[in-house]
Amino acid sequence: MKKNRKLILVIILLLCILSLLFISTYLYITDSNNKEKTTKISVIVYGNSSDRWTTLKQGLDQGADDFGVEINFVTMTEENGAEEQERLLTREIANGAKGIILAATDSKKMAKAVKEASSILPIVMVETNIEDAGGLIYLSADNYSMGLNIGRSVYFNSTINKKVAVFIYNQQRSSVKERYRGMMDSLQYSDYTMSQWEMGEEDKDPSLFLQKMLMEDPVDIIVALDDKSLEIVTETFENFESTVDIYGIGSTNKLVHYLDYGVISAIVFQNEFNMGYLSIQELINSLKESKNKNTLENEIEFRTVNRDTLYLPKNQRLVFPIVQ
Amino acid sequence: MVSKIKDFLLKIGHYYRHKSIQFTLSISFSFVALFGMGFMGVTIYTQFASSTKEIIIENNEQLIDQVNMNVNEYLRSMMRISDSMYYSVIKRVDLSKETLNKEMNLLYEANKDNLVSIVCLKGNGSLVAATPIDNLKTDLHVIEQSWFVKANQEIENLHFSTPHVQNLFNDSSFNYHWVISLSRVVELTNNGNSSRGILLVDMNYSGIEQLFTKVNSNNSGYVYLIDSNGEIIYHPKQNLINSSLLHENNEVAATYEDGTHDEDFEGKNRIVTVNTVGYTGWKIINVTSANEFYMSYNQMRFFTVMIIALTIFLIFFANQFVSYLIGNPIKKLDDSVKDLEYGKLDLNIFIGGSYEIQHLGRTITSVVLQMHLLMEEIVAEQEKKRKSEFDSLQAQINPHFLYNTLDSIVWMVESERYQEAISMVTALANLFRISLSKGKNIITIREEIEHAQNYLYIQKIRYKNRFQIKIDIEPEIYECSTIKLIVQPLLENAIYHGVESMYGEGEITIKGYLKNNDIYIDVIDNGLGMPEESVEFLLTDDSRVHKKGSGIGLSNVHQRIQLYFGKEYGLEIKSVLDEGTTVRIKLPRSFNGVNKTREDVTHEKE
Repeated sequence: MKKNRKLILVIILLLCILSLLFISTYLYITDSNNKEKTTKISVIVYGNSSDRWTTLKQGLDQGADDFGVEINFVTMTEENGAEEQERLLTREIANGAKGIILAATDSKKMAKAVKEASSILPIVMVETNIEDAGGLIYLSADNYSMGLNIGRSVYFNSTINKKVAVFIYNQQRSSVKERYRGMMDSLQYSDYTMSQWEMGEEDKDPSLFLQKMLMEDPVDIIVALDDKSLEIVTETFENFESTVDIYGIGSTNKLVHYLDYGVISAIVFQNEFNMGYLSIQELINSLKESKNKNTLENEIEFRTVNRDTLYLPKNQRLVFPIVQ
Repeated sequence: MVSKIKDFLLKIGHYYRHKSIQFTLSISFSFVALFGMGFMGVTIYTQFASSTKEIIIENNEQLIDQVNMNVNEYLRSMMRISDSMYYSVIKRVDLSKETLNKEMNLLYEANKDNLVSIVCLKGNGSLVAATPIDNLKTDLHVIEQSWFVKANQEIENLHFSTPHVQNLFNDSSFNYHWVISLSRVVELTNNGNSSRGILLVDMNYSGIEQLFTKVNSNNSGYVYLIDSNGEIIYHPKQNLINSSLLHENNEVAATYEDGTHDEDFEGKNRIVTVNTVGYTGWKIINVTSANEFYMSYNQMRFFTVMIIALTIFLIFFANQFVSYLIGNPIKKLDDSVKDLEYGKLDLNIFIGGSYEIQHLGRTITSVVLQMHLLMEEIVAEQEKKRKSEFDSLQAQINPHFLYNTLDSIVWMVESERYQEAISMVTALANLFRISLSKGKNIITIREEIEHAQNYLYIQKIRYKNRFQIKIDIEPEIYECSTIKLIVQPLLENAIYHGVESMYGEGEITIKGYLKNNDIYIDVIDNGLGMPEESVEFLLTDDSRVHKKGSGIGLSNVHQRIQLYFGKEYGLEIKSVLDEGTTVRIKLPRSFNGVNKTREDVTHEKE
């Protein structure tokens, strides 16, 4: 009898242990199913207009959806301000971001802050990198090649002996600088007369500056190397009774519209959807590996379109992203 | 190989046969349970796996049937718009007299949600009417646009295009619309003359998109839509595909028949369900990754394993318990039988357990009881037999001696030695008094020696003091018990075979002493002695015929002592030719007939 009681006790004990194991494993499984969606990532971009980043944001959202992260998309209050961007960077880190995706507003001034931050958490640079960004992941199309292509576009679409002006704007960004270098290289052996329009201290309004420059130095072609400057140029000369041809790099809704209506002759644009999506992917990878060993620069595709090629199926898919 | 297996099985069998019932039962039950549950688990699991797949496939088919209906409905409503525009408006109206604008606007307003625009063009691409915007872009090559071309190719059909950005009107806002164009050739009437025109209904792409987004949000896989050439019309990750970050097997899917297919795409196994939308030839494709199954498989596998483990565990313990219930009574029974085997007498056979074992226990008990009874009977019988033997041996003494003594007395009377004869008869009377001992067989050594002395007295007279007697008895043995008439036959033996035929002075010594808690009485004579071979016969052979006396003497004494006290007691004879003989009696030390031997106890009972 005593033996039986002992046996029953042992059985009950083992049953308890077994059911405990059972329940805990079950809970673990259901828990692991509903996990994820906790990683917070901050995306800090330059400029005060989120329109400029529509496509990038779509890519980011798709990436966030696929990789199960939460995104905080941060724009600045003004077009350019390294101090503000630095503040935003610090704030986002303090707010518990696990990783940062950053488009630097000023490649030189942001360098120090970004490098410091990158020792704390993984940072993926998009569109514009900082200077001496050894070790950082940088996602962008080859800016120099984009510059080359816009130069070629100018060259192939116009007759000889033209006067070309380059609107120097946002050159504090390494990306824009690279594009400038590429463009100048592509046209260096042409017979074009090149002039650089750079705003001085006294010029407050870029639009007025452009009008003034065109009066002083009547050119046939104006090239702008980023979205913002291209928009300024087109808005300035849209209704201007002049035959100036506009070329540039960028693909905001406005720019595409101007291209469609013949205000802009050709644009070069990069696939910012990919840029956004891949930046999330890269960030997740470096979070998982917990170190920045991937220094590979990922090349983003870019394309040159003019009014005739805009509606080609392969181009319209990229130029007019389907808002999902 | 076969022989190895055979060997192995034999070994197991051998091993089994030497284990207890409880062990064998529990191991066998547990093995059976293990196999049973394992088999059951595998069956359940495979059943579940196949049924899960079937359920998922069925769900998918139902789902895309539903989607198909919705898409069909959507496309039909577009076709209805086109039809009503054509048959109720364009066919009726003569463009020279009135415009299409009013009806077109009404139709547009009624279906605003799904429409981007309704346009009617002439065969050369110039505008007839359009709503809601009607200023065409300048330098636009409408006739080169694919919807226009297709409508002209097959004039009797309605044509659905793939999604594209509408490129027709000047729109000062920066909006661009993704549309699906429904185009057809119409007959325009102008001043009674009919000419060919094109009617275009641009459907908002978001209408299709919404249909699918809803479906994809609560589906384990995803659903996409292609046209008959495999071109993607809708895909939940269209932007990724456009950017070539993701690839879809759409071109292969276009070749699939309706139904469910297994496919391998980019190293992933997936299940694809295809359903064709009527009229357009579009295909709705549902893709479920095989991983989806594996997820639920894994969980199911886990649960199956857990439940089976639990059941095996329970069964194992139940087995232990049952085999304990069955095996334990048998073991107990076996133990008590073992006790019996080892000769334990206070029998207590286990009775318990199941009916059969109880029965077995009871049977064994009764058998053992019967055995005990029989054994006791046998013992009693043996005792009886021994007693009668003893008595008959005892009885042999008297006539033998009497014969000798009376012979002596006769002889005395014949030689007229009356005084001696009187003493002799007196001694004889004394002898018989002791000899009778009130019928007791057990007397003290004192009485026995006295008896011997009486006998010696008689014999001395008979033999005219031809021998000397020496009696040396340790006083402490006087009161010890002995069976009667054991010394006298030895004396008789010593006289007849020892000193009688001697020429010189004979001497007979009786010595009584205690040694190792046993009593020894030696009868020593210095007579002729005898050869060793005749010593051997003295104690064993009853049938030997003696020359003198009755021939019954030493062996009688020896047998009586052994019968009464046991085999370790009795006579011992040492004889040296021409020097003499010593006969030694060995007796246990006992008082009043009480000693530790069994014989004594049984004797007293009588």
